[in-house]
Amino acid sequence: MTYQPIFMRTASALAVSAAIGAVAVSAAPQAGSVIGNQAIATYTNDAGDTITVTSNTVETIVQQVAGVTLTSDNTETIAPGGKAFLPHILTNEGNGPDSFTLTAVENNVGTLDTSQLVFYPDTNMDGVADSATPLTTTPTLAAGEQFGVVIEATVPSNATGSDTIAITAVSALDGAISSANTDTLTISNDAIVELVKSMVADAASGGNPSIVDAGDTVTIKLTYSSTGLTAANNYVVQDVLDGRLTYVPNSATWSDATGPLDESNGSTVVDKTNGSGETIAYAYDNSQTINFNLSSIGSGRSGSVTFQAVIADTANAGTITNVATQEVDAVAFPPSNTASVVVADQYRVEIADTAINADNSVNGTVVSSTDDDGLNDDIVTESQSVGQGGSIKHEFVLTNLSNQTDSFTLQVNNVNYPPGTTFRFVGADGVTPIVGSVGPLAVDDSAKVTLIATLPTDVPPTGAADYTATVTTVSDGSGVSDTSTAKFDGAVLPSSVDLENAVVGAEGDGLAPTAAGGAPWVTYTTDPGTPVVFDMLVQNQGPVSDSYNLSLAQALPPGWTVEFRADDGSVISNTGTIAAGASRTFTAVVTPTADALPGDTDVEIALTSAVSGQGDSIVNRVTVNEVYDVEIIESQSAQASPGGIVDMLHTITNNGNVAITEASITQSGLTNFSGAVFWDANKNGVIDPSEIVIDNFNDLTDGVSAGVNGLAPGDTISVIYRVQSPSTATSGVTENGTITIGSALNIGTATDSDLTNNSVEDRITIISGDMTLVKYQYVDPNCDGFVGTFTKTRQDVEPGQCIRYQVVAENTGAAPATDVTILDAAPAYTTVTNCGGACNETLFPASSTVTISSGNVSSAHGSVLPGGFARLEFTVQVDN
Amino acid sequence: MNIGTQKITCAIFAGFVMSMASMSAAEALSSNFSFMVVETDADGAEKLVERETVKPGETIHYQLLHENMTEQALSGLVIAAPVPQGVSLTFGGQDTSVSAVFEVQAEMDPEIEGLEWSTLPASRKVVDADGNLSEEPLPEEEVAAVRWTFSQPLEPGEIAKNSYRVRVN
Repeated sequence: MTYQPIFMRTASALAVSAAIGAVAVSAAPQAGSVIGNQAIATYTNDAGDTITVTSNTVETIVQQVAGVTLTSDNTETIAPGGKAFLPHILTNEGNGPDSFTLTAVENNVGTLDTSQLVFYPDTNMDGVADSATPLTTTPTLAAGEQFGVVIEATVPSNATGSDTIAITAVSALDGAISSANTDTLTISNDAIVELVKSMVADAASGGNPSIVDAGDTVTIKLTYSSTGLTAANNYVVQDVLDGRLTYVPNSATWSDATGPLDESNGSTVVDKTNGSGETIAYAYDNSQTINFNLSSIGSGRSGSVTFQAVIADTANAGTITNVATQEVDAVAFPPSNTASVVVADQYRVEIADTAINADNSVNGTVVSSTDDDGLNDDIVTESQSVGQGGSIKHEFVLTNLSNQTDSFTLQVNNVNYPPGTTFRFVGADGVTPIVGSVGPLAVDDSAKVTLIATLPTDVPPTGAADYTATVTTVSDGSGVSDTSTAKFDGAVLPSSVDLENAVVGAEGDGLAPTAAGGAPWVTYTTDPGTPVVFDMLVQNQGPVSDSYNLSLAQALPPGWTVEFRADDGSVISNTGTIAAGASRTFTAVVTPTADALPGDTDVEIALTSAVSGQGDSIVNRVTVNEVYDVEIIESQSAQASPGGIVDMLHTITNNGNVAITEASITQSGLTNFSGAVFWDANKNGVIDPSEIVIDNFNDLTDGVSAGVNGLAPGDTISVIYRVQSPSTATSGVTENGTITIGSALNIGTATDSDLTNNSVEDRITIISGDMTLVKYQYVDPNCDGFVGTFTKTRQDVEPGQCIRYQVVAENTGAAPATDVTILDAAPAYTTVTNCGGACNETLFPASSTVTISSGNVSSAHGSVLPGGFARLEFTVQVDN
Repeated sequence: MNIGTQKITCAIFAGFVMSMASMSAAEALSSNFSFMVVETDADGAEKLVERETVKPGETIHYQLLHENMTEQALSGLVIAAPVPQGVSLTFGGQDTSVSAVFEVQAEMDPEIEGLEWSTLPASRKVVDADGNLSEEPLPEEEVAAVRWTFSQPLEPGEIAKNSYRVRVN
């Protein structure tokens, strides 16, 4: 299309991108068409990546509206008793199909009375009726479609004067929509000449032989009829050809003579003479104007001049119209009808890595910016490497090589991109999604569109991929299509992440979860209940930013906990976004249970990309130390009468994490008194006949497990220290007895780590009154006065709960005890409470009195007879 | 008590990180697009009507809602929306609930390839019949797209409302 001036070429190239987002075409959208719209938002994340978010698509449907125009007013002369042919062209200006009712009514403003006004179809709009079938309404016309009609007006032979005729077209869709013309008819007794022009194209004569297109020959015939009552003298016809028609020299002939007319000898030189002596002077001025002059046309005579033209290469699809003008004796007469020839639609679209010229040559000024193959061909090749889950852009250029404006849809067909690849099209800006069609594009204009292929995150990495997809663009106007190929031959780089210990020499670099021989990289020892902190490092070695979920590959033993912490100490389950090539540290804090058994526990710390699924892990180890610690509680005081016995209850607990199978339990310190340690196996607080004296943990039958004597980790036993005083003991004599657990444990293989709790010292005092003092307890979990069962044995209590104590002073002697007073104190970390009145202290006998502070209780019970007792009950609450 | 407080803090932070972790899969920025049709009643008062269809000459009111679904402010936010085929932008019909710069995209300089962005009022250079460049106000029907560039980061949970209007050709 070399005819275009340079600036127009530039403009059309620039129009490319304008066609993508929206187009400045003001034509109303077709009824039923959909206005689709989608927005995009972009922002920058903390890794510096630009993230694009697309909205939902909204669609609006266009309703139908009616519209019509009728052209144009005619002014005709007519001989008495003759006919006039009044052409009109109706255009459906609505945006959908519609038909129109036609009426022609004389306005009766003049003396002329027509005898008949009839519409005939003129589908080719040449001003000549196509058939003798009258009509009153048009067929259904598409939006923008035109339809021609000719009104045949007949006047009687005695008609005179003139009148106007109202021509109206009314929409069938909307009766309020109409258009009107006014024709004027005037009776004339002078010369009247009707000039009818026809243009007939020979499709087979050039170009595409099956359609009317550029190169075809058009035969143009100008037929004149002298219908007036007198001859038309000095008759001149001028026909200015449309620029899209090229005159064919020596093609002109006259119906009244043989041989071609000489168009080159000027407009005044007679070329031919007919049998009536009438002459014709024919001329073509070499700039589209044909002119001929007939000396005279007798009344009732008719004839024609015929010549040819060729449809020029510049002719796009559409109608080429022409009107010839005439004059008689230098007076202008109504022009000819509008003759037309329709250049057929020719649709063609090209999609490639460049724009394409009309002659199929490459237009190197509009090229794909992503094509890496260096060739101007039908393949848009991308060779840059991309990461797993990355996006590959292929920019295509599509060119409208139709002979009319057209829009185009795009389709992608995956040939062998990996399964899971997603495709989408964006416009020339590389961002805006293409919704609906691209265009409309003017003739020979091109548009850039980009296919974005997003690989799945789990695509296998490769050094040289060979992925292809085909992109097809389809003409909205015709359905013709063209296909190009998107090819990717770059490398797919693995999304790679490395998890390491931030410990020099034990990093576990690369995909190496364990050290040589499957050993853990880092081993930390700890005591039960004491956290271990592993310092970790994540390196994002992939090509795109990524974030990683943190977990353990294997579950920890029950009760153990793990926490991942960011550098600021916050607990995390994900590393957060780490830019490509960057790294980030975090810690994994593993806490064994307080009763964790000694031994090794492997901790496999793992992370997985939330984006690519890539991951790594590191195996470290926590070794829980052996802890040896046995405890006996609690030293106490007791009173005995001479020759009496007193039992003191003690508790021995294995606070370590290793079973104690052997360790001495000795009692010492008594001189005149005698004592022995009994195992209160059933923990009922009293010595039963079957319960034995013990002096070693190995006496604790089946205490660790069946067949293994001793005390298991965390277990507790009750022992009763029974001391008997000699009958000769006198009041006030005191002896101290000590129970000691040996520091050498398990036949000397271990030593107790805490010797401060390995012994108790009981103080036994001989009294005359023989008062014995026994203390019982139960737990009031809600501090609401709950009544439980008092016991001497150990109870577990939680912070905030209450303990109800009962202290019983019994006179086991032979004489009354006077001024009996019970003194007790709240244990450490407790406070005396009355539960807001729900657990007040109680006293026996009822005459007793009590003095209470937050830390001490003192009750006065008066005299207690032999065999009688005094009793104090009160409650303490454990501190929170 | 200190221990308890720390635990609460950690729990909240853990929740935040969880949402960050799922950010790449779920949306950090929710984008909702909707439209209504502008109608004028007998008194000349304007109202927005929800309907699916429009007639040529009517005005469509497009509305965009963007919500920050994360616990962090989103910066550098740009919201762009095309002017679809068959409609023309109505200058002055745009609105924004947050501080933002509004621009339109069109062919405004034929000597520069592609479309250009401009704030309003916009002008364009055109080539006259003699091949000379002259400047004229940008016609509404030439606008291909609109965008808002936010002046401030979008705070967590904040919703930005942006709207613009087009007239059906």
